[in-house]
Amino acid sequence: MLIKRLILKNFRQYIGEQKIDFSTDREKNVTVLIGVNTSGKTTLIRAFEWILYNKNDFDDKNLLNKNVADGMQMGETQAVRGNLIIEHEGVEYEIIREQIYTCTGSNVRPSVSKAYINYLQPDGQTRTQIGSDFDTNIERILPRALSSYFFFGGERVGAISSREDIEASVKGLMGLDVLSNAMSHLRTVINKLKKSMDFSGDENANRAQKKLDGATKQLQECEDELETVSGQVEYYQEEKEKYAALLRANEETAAAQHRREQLDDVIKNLETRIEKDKKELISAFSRNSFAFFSLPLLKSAVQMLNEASDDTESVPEMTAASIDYILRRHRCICGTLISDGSAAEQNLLQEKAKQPPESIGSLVRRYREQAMEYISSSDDYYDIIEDKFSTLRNDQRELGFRIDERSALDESLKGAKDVAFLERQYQNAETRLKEFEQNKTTLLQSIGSCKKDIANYEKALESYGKANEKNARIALNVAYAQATFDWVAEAYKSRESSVRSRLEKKVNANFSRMYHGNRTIAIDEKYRVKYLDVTTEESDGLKAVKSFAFVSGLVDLAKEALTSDKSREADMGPQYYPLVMDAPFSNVDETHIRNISQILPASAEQVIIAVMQKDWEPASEIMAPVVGKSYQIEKQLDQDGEEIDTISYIR
Amino acid sequence: MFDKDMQIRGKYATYWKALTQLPGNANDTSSNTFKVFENYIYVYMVAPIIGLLHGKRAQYDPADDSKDTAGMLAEIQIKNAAKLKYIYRLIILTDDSQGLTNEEKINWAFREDDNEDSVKRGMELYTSYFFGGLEILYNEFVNECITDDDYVRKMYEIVSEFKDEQNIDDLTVDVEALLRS
Amino acid sequence: MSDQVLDKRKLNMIKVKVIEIEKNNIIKKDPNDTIAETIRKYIEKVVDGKC
Repeated sequence: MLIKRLILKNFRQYIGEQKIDFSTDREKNVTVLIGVNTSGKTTLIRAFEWILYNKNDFDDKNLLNKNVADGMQMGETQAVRGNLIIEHEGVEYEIIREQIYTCTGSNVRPSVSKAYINYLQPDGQTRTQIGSDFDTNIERILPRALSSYFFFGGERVGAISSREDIEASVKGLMGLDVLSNAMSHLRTVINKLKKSMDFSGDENANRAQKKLDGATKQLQECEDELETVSGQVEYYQEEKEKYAALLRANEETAAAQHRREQLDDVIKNLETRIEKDKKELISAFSRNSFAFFSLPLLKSAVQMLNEASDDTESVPEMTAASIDYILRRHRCICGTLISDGSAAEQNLLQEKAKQPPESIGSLVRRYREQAMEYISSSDDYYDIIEDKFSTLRNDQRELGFRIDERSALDESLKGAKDVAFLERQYQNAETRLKEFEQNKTTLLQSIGSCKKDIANYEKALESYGKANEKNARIALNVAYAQATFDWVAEAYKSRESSVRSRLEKKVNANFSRMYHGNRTIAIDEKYRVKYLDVTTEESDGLKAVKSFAFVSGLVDLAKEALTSDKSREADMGPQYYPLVMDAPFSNVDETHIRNISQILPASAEQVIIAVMQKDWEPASEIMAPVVGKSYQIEKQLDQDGEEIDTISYIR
Repeated sequence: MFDKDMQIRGKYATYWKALTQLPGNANDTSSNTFKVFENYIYVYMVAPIIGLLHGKRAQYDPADDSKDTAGMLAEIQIKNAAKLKYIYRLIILTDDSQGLTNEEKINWAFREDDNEDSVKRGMELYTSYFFGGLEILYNEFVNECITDDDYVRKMYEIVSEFKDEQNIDDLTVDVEALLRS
Repeated sequence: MSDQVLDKRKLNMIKVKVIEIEKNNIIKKDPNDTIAETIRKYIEKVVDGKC
């Protein structure tokens, strides 16, 4: 299917009638719609979904342009319309959906939307409306279940490759549903035919028929039970895997818990050390602080003393003892006689009274010596204080780090589960799994023997039946039906496994081109995409790449099937589809953007992307050679140059 | 001097206790939990110096009716006599409030230890600077600091700033460097 | 039933018809019984017929 043109009238912010012609060129097959932030890219994608499926996922369900709505008079009507012109299997179709809005004074009320398809006759002129069921026809062109793979928005990208209804959709895409339906219907036919065989006249045949009925019933019961049990097996398998993964993750938790206990000790030690540091600081601060702070005072005191010892000193080294000696011998040093009661004796006594036990000089000297001692001790004072202070600071900082570390661990441990619990769950799952697997084996055996019995009874009946002409005819029909069934089953089996393995190969090839890492993808029988190395976190970028790889693998495969040999009998080739994407690059880093840009154009017939200007930059260079058409989505500016949210234009 | 049990009372007793880690049996009347000094004696030694540096003396306030007391036994003073006397003499030598000549200061500081009156006056001077210093220290620390960390930082600040001020005489003061810093 | 000798041409006609019915039914989605009935009728016609 090729999308040729989209015309919107008053659809949301697209006021008036606006159209987009998409590139249908084989080489330049990419059409780019570039918007600045929220200027309506998503709206365009949703326009497709509205036109085709009447889907309205907007928060505000009113589709009519607000400006137009505001300008309406009471009772006036306006239409919202979307036209989609596509080409499918060589025929051009126009799909039109219209919704009428009526103004009720304060509001606008929408009518039910109407849709119809026109197709262009081969002569290129006349358009004929297809009268019959719109939905059926749309379903034939682009099935709704598949639509979300081909029209997707950035946010939904991650969810795609893990959906569970993929199986049905892939089968539809690859034409496998035709085959599986055929198988189930043929089975019904065969059973009906067999039932219609009439053995009422024949005793032996009756008995055999009864036995056959019994065995068939038992077979059905066994098969039903088998399905249930298989379900259980699958469930417990997943449980087991789940708990195994949790236990693996939990090993990290055990280590973290241990670390946390260690931290408790470390922190306690640090706290004790800090208290000691404080005490040591106080002690250092206290002792000899007087010496440190008295330094400037000391300097001036010493200076004063030095000056003073010059003038207060009368006779150097003269002491009271010396004077006593002179008095006792009654003769001065100079030789003068000193008699009792004389003036000389009085002078000497006065002089003696002034003398301290020692001379001023030695006093000062001693004081100075003391002072020097204290001065030198104060030299260390500052260094010691600084040292104690920085030790304290370091320890406090270390404590801070450790406490932060412990808080972070507490956070991460909050979610951790009890290991014992996990172990129990794992064991439980393993036990139940074994049980059910055992169950399954037993059932399979029963089924096997039932089938054998049924085969035997049928053979018996056949031989009875051959005798009866009517039954013979029916038996013949059964034979043809069975042969057809076998043929379809064979085709289905080989096709299905080929589809799955080719899909897996393609997806892996795409994936490794888009993602510069080491991952392998497997596709299980339900077409779910799994990594072979399980349980690590998936980034958004990785999810996006995984989905692209899957979808483009799917499209690629479909393309292959179509172009394969058509001359085979009863070919049932699938269709090919364009890729329409909203913000494919929005959660992906630059390297991934480049990789995806290289693959995308080649992975679909037609690629339509709506991007933001900033996301387009890294991709534009690579995709330039394949861009056939490009449009800008702009908001209208008012007279102040401000953007108007409610009006956008596509240029 | 410095050979008898001594005691002070009133708000200065409160200040003294607030600044010092108390022995186990003392009555802690202070509201702060971080004590800057290890022992009473160290405060008794450095507070007068601080008072002297700032030229601040103080007396008992007659209006102060607080019954709080703090003191020291003779023993601890005798053990630190040399330092205490050194400080005593330093105070007398550098104090300018008594209007004495240098000669008079020196005599008072060194020659009059056996003069009861001189010693009494000397101890009054010592005590007045002690009170002044207590008040300054109390304001710096207890009034301004709340958390342990405030105290620690203040201790370091006081010491560093003092050291820098001493160094200013030694260094040439560079305008460019000052503007840049 | 594998010991029946089946006419190749008749078998091919049935095969083609079944696939055609199923393809059309992807869109129409008739109930299973209807389809089974259609198929059965066709088989009967072909098998009984002389063409």
